[in-house]
Amino acid sequence: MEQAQHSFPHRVDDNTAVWAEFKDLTERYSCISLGEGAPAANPPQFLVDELMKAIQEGHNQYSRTFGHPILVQSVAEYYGKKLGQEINPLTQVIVSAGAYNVIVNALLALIRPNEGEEVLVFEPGWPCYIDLVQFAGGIYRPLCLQQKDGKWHFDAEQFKNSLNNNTKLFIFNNAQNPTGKIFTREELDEMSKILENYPNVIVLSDDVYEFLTYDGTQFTGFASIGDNFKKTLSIYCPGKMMCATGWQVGWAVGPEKLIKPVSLISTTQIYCANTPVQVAYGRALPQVDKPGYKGELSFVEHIRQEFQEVRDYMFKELSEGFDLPVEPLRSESGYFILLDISKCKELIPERYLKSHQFEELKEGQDPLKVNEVFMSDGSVPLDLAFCRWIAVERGVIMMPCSLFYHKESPYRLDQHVRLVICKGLDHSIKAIERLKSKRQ
Amino acid sequence: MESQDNQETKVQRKYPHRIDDNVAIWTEFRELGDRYSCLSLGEGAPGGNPPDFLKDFMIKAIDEGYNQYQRIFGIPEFVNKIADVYGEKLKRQINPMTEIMVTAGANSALNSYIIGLINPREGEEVLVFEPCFPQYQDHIQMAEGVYKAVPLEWKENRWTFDPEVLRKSLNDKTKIFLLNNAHNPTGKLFNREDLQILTDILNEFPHVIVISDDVYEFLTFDDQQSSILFASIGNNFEKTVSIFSGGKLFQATGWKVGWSIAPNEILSKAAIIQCCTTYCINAPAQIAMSRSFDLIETMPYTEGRTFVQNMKKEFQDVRDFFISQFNSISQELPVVPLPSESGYFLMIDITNCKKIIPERYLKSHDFEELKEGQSAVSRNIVYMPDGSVPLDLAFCRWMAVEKGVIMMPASLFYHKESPIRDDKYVRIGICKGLDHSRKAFDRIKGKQKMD
Repeated sequence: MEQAQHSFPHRVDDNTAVWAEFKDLTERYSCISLGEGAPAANPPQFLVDELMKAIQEGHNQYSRTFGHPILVQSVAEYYGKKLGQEINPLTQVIVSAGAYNVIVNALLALIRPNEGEEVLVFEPGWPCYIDLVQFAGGIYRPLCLQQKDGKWHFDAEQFKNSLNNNTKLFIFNNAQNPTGKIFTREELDEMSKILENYPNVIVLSDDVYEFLTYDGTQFTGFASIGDNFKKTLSIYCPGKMMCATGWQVGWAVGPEKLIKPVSLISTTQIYCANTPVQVAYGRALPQVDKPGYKGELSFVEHIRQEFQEVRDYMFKELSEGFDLPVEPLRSESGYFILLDISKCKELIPERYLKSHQFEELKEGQDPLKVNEVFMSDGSVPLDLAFCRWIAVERGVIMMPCSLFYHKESPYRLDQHVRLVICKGLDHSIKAIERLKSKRQ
Repeated sequence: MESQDNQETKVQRKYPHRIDDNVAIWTEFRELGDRYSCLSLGEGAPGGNPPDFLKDFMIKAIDEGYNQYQRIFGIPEFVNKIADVYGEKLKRQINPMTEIMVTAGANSALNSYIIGLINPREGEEVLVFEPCFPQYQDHIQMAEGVYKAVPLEWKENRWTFDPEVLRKSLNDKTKIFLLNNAHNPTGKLFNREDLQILTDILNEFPHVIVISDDVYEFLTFDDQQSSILFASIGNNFEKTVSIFSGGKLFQATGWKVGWSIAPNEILSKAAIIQCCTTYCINAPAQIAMSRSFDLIETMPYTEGRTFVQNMKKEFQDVRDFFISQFNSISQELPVVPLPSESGYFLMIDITNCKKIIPERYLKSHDFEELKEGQSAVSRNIVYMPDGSVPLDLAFCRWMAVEKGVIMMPASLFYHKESPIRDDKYVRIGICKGLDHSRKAFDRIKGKQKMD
């Protein structure tokens, strides 16, 4: 039989390599990870009990393609309150296989492929947006978030100038990854006003961390302001909220004319989302804000407190008594904090700064496959060098922020690294102690 | 840019058309089911439940901490198990890390492979047997490939295909041959002879990749072994994707876990797509299924039968019930059941019913006797090439409205422009359990609609 020659489509760049390097480093150098945004805690018992109940009651077969009636009813009530909006559970909610899946389905549903439709995204931002926009056949256009005096600012002029008649979507991640920024009411009003000049622009409000705010900061959903609901899909992630990122169910709310096309894509791809998990979430959602989960705190308040405790611990430990001159930046929300590592350049061994061949290989050991990326001046990104150094010589994984920009973005910086604060205090203490002990 | 009065701003957006809205097809029958309080023999959702031990393993997996993001292509414990179980069926060593991809249900596997393999808008063809699972069309459309079909025909008491017709339908542009064995909706099992013919013909077109939809492979009747996997024959593994469904195997279609086995050259293309779509798959469900794999085939579960043996018996009992019952009323209702060898469904030939179906259903799509102020249900406005309402659609509407039973017209299992589209068969679910099926048949016989 002759050897078959196949030609396969190139619909999206294969960026799994990016994360693979850090997974490989973790294994080879036995690192403690502060890299991946997956919580250490288990989901609350009330959620687990609801799942068991749903399975026993027989909710185990195919269910409604847009989302199980019990869940969509619950979602409509819960987020209707948050957004100050009457939400129709049957036409204004879509449930898919995780928030990630909802986001890509929205992009596929709304972007006409290869027609020059532009998607605006703040950088630094979740890198997967880049791949997903490419997959949907859109054009990714970054907007810059700039850091000044410990706060991240958006540039209204730049926002205004980046909009044009080709702009189809604005992906707006509030309670932002990786900066933790919560956009203020003033900023949201300003954005809304600017967008009035481009009424065709659809907003994808990625609100997956909206529940995880610190220091009592208020989160305002973009869709709750003025008439914004009519043009906004708001994405939520129960996996993040209830520490069950592996259960893979997520949802969005929005006007029917945006929800319906998303549901068509979802139906084709998965038919329906996991049934018993949907029922469990539907029954658990009204319980997350009830006081009395831990002392007087509700479950959400408890999670906020736990994460904030880790955030504060790390902030303190990395600001004082640390041999490296890193500057932690305040995070207002979410799973992460950023460190400014620009002052560490002189301390990083030459090997990491000079090239991508940074390992001191043992006899017979092959080098790891690494990201061969460069800054525009041809240098190895400083943050990448830093993270490799810390992984190999101190056994702790962090993520270089330069990976949170498009590789050709004019705004790409290499002076920040991202650490997670979602792993619980014990794990975080171990990581910090290892970091500070300069393990051989 | 001058500002505009928000009130008068007209929002004009263009949306992509990646996929036809085929939800409408199923909507008619859902609405008929609701309005006329029907019992359903329509959808392929089983009436039974997953085994208790699967549910227990699920809860245990949650307690053990399998609740966060996992390896995208499947948890190592699970893929190792799949490699063992299917390595035996395929008679080869399967590499769990490079040749297995766990998916959000089998349907998601079809989506990822078809999109991953088809070069969009280049006229690449996907060849299928019709009638077939209608969602194949949707995946192919989404991938921007070309859907092409060859017929399965009922001849000499079995469903057959014509090798010459198949050979003539294959060409340079054929990218994928999509084979569904055990077949939906006919229940046909492609036997060794069939599969050898297919293998030989496909060897004349070595560029063609085979996707073998094996989701019902375990659900065979009449003491038959599991269906023969195309990938297990000769060198076929090198060109074949085999797709399996945890939802069907464990009678938990809502749990949405499937798996695919393929050589890495092919799997890696689907993997890139999965990274962009469903990402990881439900973690505790993977562990639960992994730990239940052996038990469903070895542990006595119901009256001494294993879970799988019991499922096969229950479905076969319903199949046999419908066949004997339809035969017993063939004077009043001249339906000819076509024995199904496998799966969730039974096809019946309703050609001879034309003379007894009330005119209203045959004449047009306005078949309801509407009450004051009532509007018609959403309807599939489709016609046969001669302009008639499809006979099977008329039959199913009649059954729904006047007997209170939902069945599916098999003409919906062809592309709406398929030149081989036939309207003389109706598909009945045999997956709903004997009680439900008896009640449904009482209604078909014409007994009171009330239970």
